[in-house]
Amino acid sequence: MTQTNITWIEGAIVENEIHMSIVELSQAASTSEELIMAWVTEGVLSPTGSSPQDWRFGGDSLSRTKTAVRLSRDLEINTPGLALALQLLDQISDLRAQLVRIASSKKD
Amino acid sequence: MHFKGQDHHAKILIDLVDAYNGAKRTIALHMPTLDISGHVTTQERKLDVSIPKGIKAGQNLRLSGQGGPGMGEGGAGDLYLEIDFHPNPIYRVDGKDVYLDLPLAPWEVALGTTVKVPTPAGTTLELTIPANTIAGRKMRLKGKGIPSKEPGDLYVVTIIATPPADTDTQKEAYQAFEKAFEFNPRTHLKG
Repeated sequence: MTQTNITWIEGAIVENEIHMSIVELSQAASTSEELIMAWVTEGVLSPTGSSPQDWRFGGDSLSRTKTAVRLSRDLEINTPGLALALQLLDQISDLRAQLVRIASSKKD
Repeated sequence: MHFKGQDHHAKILIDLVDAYNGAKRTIALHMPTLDISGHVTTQERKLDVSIPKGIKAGQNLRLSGQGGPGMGEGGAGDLYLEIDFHPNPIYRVDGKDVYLDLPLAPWEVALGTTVKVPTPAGTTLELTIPANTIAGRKMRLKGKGIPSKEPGDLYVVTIIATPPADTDTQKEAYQAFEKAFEFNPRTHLKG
């Protein structure tokens, strides 16, 4: 009888466990470090650390950067417009979450 | 020349129970590759992945070195798996909190009862429904949401299910019910 040993690949949850450098974020989101720097200046991304070499991007930085890449590439939105678009998307997401909660307690 | 390989991205659907207990899944990815003549074709690649307990919809799982091949000693890129949940007919998910609608009979909400409530983890909890519970009451089962350092909560929301009156006996029961109460559920409509 043959026995197959499967090696299960363990991953790390980006939002909980990983704090990316600007190089890693740029590679993971397929965008340039210059653009990431511009987005940090505009408040689109908020890394910890004082200089680009020390920056560490945690939490939802990767998904936020991927959204920013899509918006800037597909819709050609400039950086201030991007900051506004992401702020509005955040608000929509918060409101959707509130809807779930309200729908579950509308008769409270 | 040394270059790290490209990072790859894919989206996978898991069950809510996988986020509660963790899971091992074999996933098939269709990766674009160049054939000998330089044409782009898709090649299936199977990966045995361990889904960590506590992962939430919208989060990304990074599998180091499972992306595109590197050049020289650059090393392979990483594979990012964006997680989403299969739609669930019983539970709704809001971040790390989970909601369950619990149907109760009119006599159960009026008199109070104890019911068995399934959890996404596959366990069953006993929940006491106090007398005179109203529809839409939200009962929080602290820490029974998606697990993490600060686990989410499981909210059980009461809904009232009324049985149809099909037989004469059942109709009489409803008529007796009506006589026993001076109840107008539409007083707020002033109609």
